[in-house]
Amino acid sequence: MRRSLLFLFLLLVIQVACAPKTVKMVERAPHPTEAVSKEEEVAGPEGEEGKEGAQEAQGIKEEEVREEEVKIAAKGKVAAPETPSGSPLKDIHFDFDSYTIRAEDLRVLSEIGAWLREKKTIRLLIEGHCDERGTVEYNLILGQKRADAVRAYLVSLGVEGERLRTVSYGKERPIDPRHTEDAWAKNRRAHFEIER
Amino acid sequence: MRLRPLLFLLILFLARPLEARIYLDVYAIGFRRVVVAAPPFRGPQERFGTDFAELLNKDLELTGFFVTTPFSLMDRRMLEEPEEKEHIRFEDWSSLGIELLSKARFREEGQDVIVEAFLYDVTEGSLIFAKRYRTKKDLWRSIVHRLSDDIVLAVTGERGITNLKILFVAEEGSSKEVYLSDIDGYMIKKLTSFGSITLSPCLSPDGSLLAYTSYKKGRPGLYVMDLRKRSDVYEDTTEGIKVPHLFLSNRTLVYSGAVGRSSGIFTLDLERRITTRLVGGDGIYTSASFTRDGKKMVFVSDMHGSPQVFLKNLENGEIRRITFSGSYNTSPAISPKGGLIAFVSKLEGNLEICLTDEDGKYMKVLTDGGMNDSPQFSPCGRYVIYSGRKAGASKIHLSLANGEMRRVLKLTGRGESQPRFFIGKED
Repeated sequence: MRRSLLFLFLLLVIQVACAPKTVKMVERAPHPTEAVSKEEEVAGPEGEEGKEGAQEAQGIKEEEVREEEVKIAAKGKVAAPETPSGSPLKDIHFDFDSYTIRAEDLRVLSEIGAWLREKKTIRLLIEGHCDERGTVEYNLILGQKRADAVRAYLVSLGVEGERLRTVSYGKERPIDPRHTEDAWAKNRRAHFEIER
Repeated sequence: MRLRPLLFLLILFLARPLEARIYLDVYAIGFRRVVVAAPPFRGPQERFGTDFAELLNKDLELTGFFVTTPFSLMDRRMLEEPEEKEHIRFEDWSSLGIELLSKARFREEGQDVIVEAFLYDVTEGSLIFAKRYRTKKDLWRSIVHRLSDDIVLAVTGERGITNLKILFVAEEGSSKEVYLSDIDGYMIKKLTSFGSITLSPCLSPDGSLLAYTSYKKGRPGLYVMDLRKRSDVYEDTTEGIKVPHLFLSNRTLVYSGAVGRSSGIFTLDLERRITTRLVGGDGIYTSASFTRDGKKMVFVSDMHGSPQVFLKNLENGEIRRITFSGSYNTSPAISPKGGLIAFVSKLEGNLEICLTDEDGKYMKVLTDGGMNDSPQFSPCGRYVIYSGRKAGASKIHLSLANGEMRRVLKLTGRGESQPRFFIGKED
């Protein structure tokens, strides 16, 4: 408990330190304030995590990174949607027209699974995406199948299903809008977002 | 005869029963197009008469069944002769190679405009039909579309498509919204304004309900909107994806959905809120399309590994695989009359619109490269509409089902997709 109080205090310091910059930015773009208030929310569960112990060193590192993030946000750049540092979350990719998880991605998912088993309060949104070389309707379902395949694998690793929500974007939200093999490979993905 | 509130159609007399003679067998492979002349309509304002005729010629060209005749080929006497048979000098028209002549005159009565049209077989020198049309002046285009459809009916034995509307999705920045337009790109109406991704629209037969998938509330939901009240009467935003395909009636929607291991094609009774699964499993099942009698359904599924087209006989429950060549055959549509099936096939890296029959034996590629998607047959089964892109924005294309007369429809000009024909009510 004492540790979490310290943690909150540190965050407060960070915010106070950044406050003037943020206020200045507000007139131009409301985004930085939003980013800062999100940090506050993240602090809640993270504070509780402290109870489990053996997190002290990591905790401090996290705060440093957060401070950096807040600064970036204050400069008006888009803050990464608060992926806690040290999180193993990263996109995994699929072959054309496939919703089978690739062998090389099983390791990524294992890390994510272990991380989720540890951080019991985190809930994930799993987005399934497709490349543009398919029909609209088929890709909508295919995207769902990709998200579902990832969810099923994480559940098989012991993550509670209620913490994992899926959504398909079909081919509607490419991460790379180019029409190249490279872009298509990037776009056939499952992407993770932390839900609040 | 049906009387419509605004458009009165009066048949003065019929030269002969319509079924008696089919001038053009449009199902024949490589049919010959009929040479038609539709000179300016005679009436109080010359300009209006030219507008009428120009639109009629455009409509007739759009059908793909006719070769039209430029006004410049017609001399003064041809342009000024009255519309009745006794005044027509058929040898003049015939000397230009014209086979079919549409003569018309118009007059105004208060807010209304009245058109009297006469269609002649030039070769025989006989009257095919004479009809009178009446509507509000600002709806004059609907008269021309109607006349064009009647000409197609007289010549081919079936009504044309110029009175149909096109329902489609168009991009607006990063959003996608649903639009309804006349087939010639006029009277474009925006049906949704959610500032979000909205997809797969379909309209109920009476035009009052619009079903769609939208991300307007974040996660994708299946919605049914009452277009008169502009509000949703059905909403399903439970986890998973749901895609509407068509209305079997004004209360029964067909959609496909997937979440977890349960995936399939369903009917949804909107009044009783009952969902029935037509086909499904733990793979992908989507893009359902029905014959008009509701007895046959085509769909795509990866139940055998790769996406392939299947036909389900809903009377005996039999499911047959239709496509066997290639490893990516999706987005099927069956002709409302049965027989032909259009689908998208991945061929040499392109997505092509292909045609096959119910046995999967006949095969024809309609397109020539690019990314084509979402084929749909016209209600008469003679046309296929689809979206296509080679470079630049995706556009809506119209083609005769034999692959001839492919052309782009001029609609919004902004990335268009998922077109569907809608038999519009005359309003």
